[in-house]
Amino acid sequence: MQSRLDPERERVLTEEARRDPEALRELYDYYFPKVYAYIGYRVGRVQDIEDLTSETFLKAIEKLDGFVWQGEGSFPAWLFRIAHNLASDFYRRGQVAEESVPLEELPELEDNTLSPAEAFLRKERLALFRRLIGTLSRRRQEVITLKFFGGLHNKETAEVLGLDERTVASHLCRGLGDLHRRYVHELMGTKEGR
Amino acid sequence: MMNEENELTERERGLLEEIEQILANERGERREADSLYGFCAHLASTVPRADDDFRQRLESRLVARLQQQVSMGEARPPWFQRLALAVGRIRQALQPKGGMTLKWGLAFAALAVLVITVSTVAFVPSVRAQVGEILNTWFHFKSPGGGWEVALSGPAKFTPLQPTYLPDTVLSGLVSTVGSVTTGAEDEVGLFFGNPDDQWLYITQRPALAERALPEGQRVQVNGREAVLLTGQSGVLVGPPRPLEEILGEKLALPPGCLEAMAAESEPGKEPAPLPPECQQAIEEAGGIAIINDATYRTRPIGPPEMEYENAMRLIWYVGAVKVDILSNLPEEEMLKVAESMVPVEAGEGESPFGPPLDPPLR
Repeated sequence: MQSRLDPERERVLTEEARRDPEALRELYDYYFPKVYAYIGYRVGRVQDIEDLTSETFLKAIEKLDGFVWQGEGSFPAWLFRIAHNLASDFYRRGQVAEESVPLEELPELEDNTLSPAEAFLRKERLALFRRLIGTLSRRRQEVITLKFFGGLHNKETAEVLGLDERTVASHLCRGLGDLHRRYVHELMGTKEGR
Repeated sequence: MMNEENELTERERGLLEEIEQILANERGERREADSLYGFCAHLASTVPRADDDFRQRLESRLVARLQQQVSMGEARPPWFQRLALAVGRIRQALQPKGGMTLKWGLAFAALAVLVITVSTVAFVPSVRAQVGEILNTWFHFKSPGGGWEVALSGPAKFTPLQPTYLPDTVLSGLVSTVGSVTTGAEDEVGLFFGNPDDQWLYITQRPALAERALPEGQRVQVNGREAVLLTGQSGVLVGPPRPLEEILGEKLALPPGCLEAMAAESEPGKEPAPLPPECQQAIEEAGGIAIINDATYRTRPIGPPEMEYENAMRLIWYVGAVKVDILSNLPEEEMLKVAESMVPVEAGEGESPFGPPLDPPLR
């Protein structure tokens, strides 16, 4: 996982990216994979992920003049709030398919050293995790996806969702506990079914 | 506020630490998913990855958009750059005083029963910071036809002028806006009259520089003062009015206390205080709000309006300490008539004695 941007560097970049394409590129290079992964888990289909990722960054550029640096973590919190709002709108508009997304429509995974068979299994796992995460409360889904795929710290997640940091930690622990239980239950069911 | 349900157990705290390690250690740790820790590692190994082609295409698109924004920003009248951000403050600025003074920025007027327009509205922290630059100077604009009056206050360092004559074709036009902005040396007041699709006038005024230079062009007289008329002007005017109906979305219920908090943080002479997080969040989730007649509306996301013009004329001259620049598609004779009708608006210091601007006719 890429280490975090140095906060001072990030502050300068957020200033310069309002006019300087190079600064914009540097910010984009760092945050694009995270935004894509987060949205990927939220919406599933590649086409939808690409649409929402594009919209997130276009909106971010449009609003960047209004962004005010408020210390470390303020930029990812701001950026992911845009992504979160767009993903939430997408849900509200009922554009997220209720049925599970076919494997071929899911995105590729970060690890590109896998053999085709391993990649297929990993994608199946992604589909399963997505489905199980979808059974959690909306809040817990958001906390887990922001943490694991957006790469946000709990404090940043708290800012995105307007929650207390400890509430985020609590949702995270309990959400993961629930998710794990459902996963184990699912695996047991699969084994028993054989 | 913390409650017992949010208290973490020892095991949960251990889990949080473990998650941080998992996420910091390349995610793909191989463990059995039977354990919660192993499960987290498995979860972290399923990070979606974008297609490189998409990534590059989006990057190019973003860079192009940025360059477009930068060039548009440079071409845009300075007052318009702030106009959009001032709209939503009208009502809240009025609230605490019970009077009319607009602390900064913009007021609107409707021409008779015609549609009033606004531009996009957004509340962003940098805007609230700018609102701190307040001078208690007020200006009172009146419609030449008597249909409206608008009071505007702000940090302008000169007294603007307004036409007392407008051709019927403009008076019966769709819209009218008045806006101003002051940022350092860039004091400017902008007035737009008429209909972007028909006849219109866009008057900008700023403090005259010492040399009072006029560009090359046809010399004409405006009330005995030398002026320059430039013909065959074409370009893009960013910021003509948009009908209110295009901008306003549904009514919005802000969390309790937000309107009061917004009003309080725009008190003159005080460092703007941050809005409560729930208000900030509600506003950001809305994508922008406008407050009109105590009702809060979500603003629809639309880009800055643009108006392409061709074969227009510009008339530039000085009146006292003010440089006046009229851009219009009116005939030369009418343009000069408007120019000659311009007089300083009524102005004063302190609280304005006038009532609030006309309420926009919401449909």
